[in-house]
Amino acid sequence: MEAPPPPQPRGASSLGERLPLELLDQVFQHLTQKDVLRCGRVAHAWLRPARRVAYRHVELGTRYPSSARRAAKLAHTLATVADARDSVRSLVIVSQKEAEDVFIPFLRWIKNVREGQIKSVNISTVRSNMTVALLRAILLDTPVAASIEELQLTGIFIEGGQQSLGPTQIVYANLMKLSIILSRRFLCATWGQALFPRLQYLSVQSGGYCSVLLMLLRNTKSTLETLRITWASEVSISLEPDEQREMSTVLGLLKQLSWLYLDLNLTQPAPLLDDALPQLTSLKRLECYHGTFTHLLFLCLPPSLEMLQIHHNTNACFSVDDRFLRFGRAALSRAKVGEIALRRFYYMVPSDVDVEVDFADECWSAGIDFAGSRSRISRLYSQDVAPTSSKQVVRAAWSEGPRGPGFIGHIM
Amino acid sequence: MINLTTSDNETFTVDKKVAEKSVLIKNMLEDVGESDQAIPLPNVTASVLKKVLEWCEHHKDDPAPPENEDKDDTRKRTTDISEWDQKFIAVDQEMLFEIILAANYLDIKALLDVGCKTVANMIKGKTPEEIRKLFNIVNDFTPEEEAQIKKENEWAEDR
Repeated sequence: MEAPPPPQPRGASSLGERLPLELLDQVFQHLTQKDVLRCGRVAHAWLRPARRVAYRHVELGTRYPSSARRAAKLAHTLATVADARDSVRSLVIVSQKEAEDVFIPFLRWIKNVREGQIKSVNISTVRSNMTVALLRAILLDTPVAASIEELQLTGIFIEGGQQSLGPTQIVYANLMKLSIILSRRFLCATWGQALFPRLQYLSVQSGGYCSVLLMLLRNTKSTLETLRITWASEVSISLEPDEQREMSTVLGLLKQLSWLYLDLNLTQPAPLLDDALPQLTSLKRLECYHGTFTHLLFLCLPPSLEMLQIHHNTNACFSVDDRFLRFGRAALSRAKVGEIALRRFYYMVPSDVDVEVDFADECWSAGIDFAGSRSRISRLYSQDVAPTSSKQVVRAAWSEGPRGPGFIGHIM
Repeated sequence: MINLTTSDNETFTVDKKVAEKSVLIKNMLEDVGESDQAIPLPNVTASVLKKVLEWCEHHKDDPAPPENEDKDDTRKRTTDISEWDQKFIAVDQEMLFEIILAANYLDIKALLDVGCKTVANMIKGKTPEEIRKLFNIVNDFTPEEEAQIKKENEWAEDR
C-alpha cells in the first residue's frame, strides 16, 4: 500500500512554477528597478525577466558624488552582463566632467548593440562641455543612430582634440523626436548635414539666430509636425533683416506643421510670422511671442488654425500697445464666417481692461474660448457655473488682482 | 445573452456586453456571428469564471482602453488599484493566480493589470528570501551565483 501523497501546503504550486514568464514581465513593470532586481535574485527562472525589465530604461548620472558611484557600478554591470545591456531600450546620460572617466569607458558595448535595439537617448552635460568625439563614440558612430526614435541633447557639445567631425553624413532613419541645443559658436554634431527622413517633432533651443537650424528645417520640411524654437537668453537678441527674411522663408516651407511654438526673446520686433503663416496650411496651434508678428497676424492665420496663444517677454526692450487686442477682431470675424477654424484664443499679455473685456465678450458670443491676462475665468472652464454676464466675470476676476500660478496650469 | 461553458462543464449565461470585456470572446463572437451555441472556455474553471464575470459586470460600462499603449514605458510604475478592485482581488494566492491566468487567456487587459499590480504590491520592499517564502519558490542559485548577482545589482541598492 502506497502512502497517500502529503497534502500540498497552501499555494505550493504557485507563482514560481505557474505564472508564465511573459506575465512576470507585467508584474515587474509595476515595481521599481531596485525591487525588480531583487526579484532577479529569487530563482533562475526569474533572473532574465527581471533583467529585461530592470535594464530597459537606464540612467547614468554623475551630478552628485553618490550618483557618480552608482553610475560607475551600473556602467560596469552593463559592460559585464550581456543580458543587462541587451535589455537597454532607453538611455539617459547626465555628464559632468568627471563622468568621462567614471563610466564612459564602460560604454563601449554600445558599438555592438543589436540593430534597432535602442529607441531613446537623452544626453545632458552639466557644467562641462562634452566633446563631439565622445558623442560620436556613444551615439553617432554606433548602430544607435539608425535605431533611435527619440533623441534629446542638452548642453554644449564641442569639437575636441584632433578628431574632426569627418565628412560622413549621418542618417537618423527612425528618429521621430529631436530636442537639441544649438549655438552660434559651436557647430553641433553636424546637425545641418544629418538626414531625418521621419522626423515629426523638433525642439531647438539656441541663443539666437543660427543657420544650422535653418538647414535642419529645410531637411525636415516634408515630415515635421511640431516645431518649438526657444531663444533662451537673459538678454534680448536682435534679428537682422536678412536673417528675419531667411527664417520667414524657411518657416513657410513647413507644410505639414500642425503645432508651432516660437519663443524669440527679441530686442526689436521682427515680424517673420506674417509672411510665413499663410503657407502653413496644416497649422492647428500657434504659440508665439510679441515681436514675431505685426497686427496683420490676424489676417494671416491659416484656415486650419484652431488655437492661438500669444505671450510677451516682460523683460523685452520694446513695449506692447495695451490696446493691441482690438486687432484680433479680424480673426474673430474670419472665424464667424468659417474662414478659420479658431476655437481657442489665449492672450497672455497685459491689456487695457476695457479692451480685454469687450474682446472677451465678442469671443464668447462667437463661440471662441478666450482667456486674457486679466480674466481668470474662461468659458471652457466655467461651464458648470454659467456666468450671468461675461463682462461681470472678467471685471470680477480683474479686481481680484494678478492671476495666480494656477491659472496657467488650467489653460496649458 | 451569451452562453459560456467552463472546463468543468458548467454553463454561464451572461449579457453580451459583459462577456465582451474579454477580447477573446469578443473576437470569437465576431467570427462566429449570432449563435445560440455555448462558447467553450477549456482553460477556465467555474469558480474562476464566476469571479472574472463579477469583475466584468462591475466594469461593463468602463471606456475601452487605448489601443496603442506604449509598452516600453517602464516609468509609469503605478500600483494604484481602485477601492472596488482592491476588495474584489482580496482573495487567496491560489485564486489570485487563477484570475491572472484567466484574464490573460481571456484577454481582459484591465483585469490582468489589477492582478499584476496586486502581485507587485505583495513583492514591493521584500528581500529575495521573503519573496521566495511568500510564493513558496525554491532557491536554485548556488551561493557563488547569488553573490555574483548581488554584486551586479549593487548599483541599485545604495542610494
